[in-house]
Amino acid sequence: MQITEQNIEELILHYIDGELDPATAEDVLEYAGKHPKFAAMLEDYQQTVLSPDANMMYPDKEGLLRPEITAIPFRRRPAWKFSMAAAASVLLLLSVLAIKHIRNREEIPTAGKIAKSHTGPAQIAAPILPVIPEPVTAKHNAGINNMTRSPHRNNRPAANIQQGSATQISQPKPQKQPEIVPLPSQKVMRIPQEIELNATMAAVISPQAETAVPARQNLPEWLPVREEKIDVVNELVAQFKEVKERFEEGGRTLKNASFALKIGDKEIGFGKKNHN
Amino acid sequence: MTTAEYNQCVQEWADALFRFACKSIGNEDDAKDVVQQSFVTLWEKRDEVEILKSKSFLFTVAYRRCMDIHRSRDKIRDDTMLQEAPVYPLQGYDLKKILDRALNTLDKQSRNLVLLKDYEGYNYEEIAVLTGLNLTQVKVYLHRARKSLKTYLVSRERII
Repeated sequence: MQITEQNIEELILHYIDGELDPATAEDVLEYAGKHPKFAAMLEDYQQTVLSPDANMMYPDKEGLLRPEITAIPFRRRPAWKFSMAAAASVLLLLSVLAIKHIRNREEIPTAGKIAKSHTGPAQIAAPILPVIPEPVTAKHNAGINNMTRSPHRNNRPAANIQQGSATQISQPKPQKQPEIVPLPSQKVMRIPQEIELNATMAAVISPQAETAVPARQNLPEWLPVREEKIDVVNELVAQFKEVKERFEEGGRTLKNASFALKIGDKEIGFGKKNHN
Repeated sequence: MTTAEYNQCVQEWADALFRFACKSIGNEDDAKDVVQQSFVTLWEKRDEVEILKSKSFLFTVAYRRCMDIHRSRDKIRDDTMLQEAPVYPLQGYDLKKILDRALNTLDKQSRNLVLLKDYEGYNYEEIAVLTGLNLTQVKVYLHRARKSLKTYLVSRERII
């Protein structure tokens, strides 16, 4: 760059501000060295450069700081996480095995299952003993009508409902019929074969059904089934008890554990041993 | 920016911000407010500001706040006021005190640019980004300020 008297002052200003490349800065210094007038100008401009006062400091720097919160949970016994995870994994595995075992059991046909498919679910839930109901008479129907006309229509006795269902009487509006004659068709007579079957089912699903193998053999379409032992179930129960004991032991240990919260420089401890 | 990085910014830049604000507006209490507001703004925007740009962010906020204070005070100084500035006799030759007085005679814009240049060492482009001025304006303001300071110092030397 050509340095002249017209541009030397601007170049000196750039030099003072440190904005010149090294080569141009060297040229400026050389030019000022040859011309005392511009050397004095350079010195005057150099005096205008401010220097920061190191003694001037912000007085309340601590007030600007923000607390740094660092939580340190479970300072003691950090391996407990692994114990808990292992216990949970064992429990999950045992649950899966148990569900799989139960499903396998359901796939094997049993005597109860065969009987269930033969007689229907209603009779399994509430086995009906061979009872032949009495013939429905007008007096009996009148008694039912009196019950339905009572102020407690919504609270009809259960016995009355059972009786009505047993005789299969359908009377949606009994108050419109002043006299009810006996209905021959409402007599339900059970055939002897069904009565015999119900008696057999009652024996099968009774609490003593495990020992009533001969009764099960009397069922129609009875097939020999595999009699499973409950040893596997007992083993699973024992494993569950073991897992439960491990959890209880873990809970007791967890109560003895402690942890600390670190807020800034302060540390607050929790548990039996304080960390203050 | 994490809390630790923010606190690191406080430790590194609080004093420089305070010096800049104090020299710019000439009042320590106002300068404290400027510093506090700058760091409050940085804390609120800490998710957006990177640690490397924290210094320029702080000085940008402080510069704008100083300009607001200048406008509210309505103390506009220009070169004509520099000519009318009273001349106080100095006890001895203290260039730093003379320079501080010379700085106070500058207009608010030129004074801020000189402070950013000399105190913090920003180059022209950085000052342009920080103040929102263009590069030519920065050069003009700075060169005009240097000439004013030189004129003030030369006249003082003659008196002394």
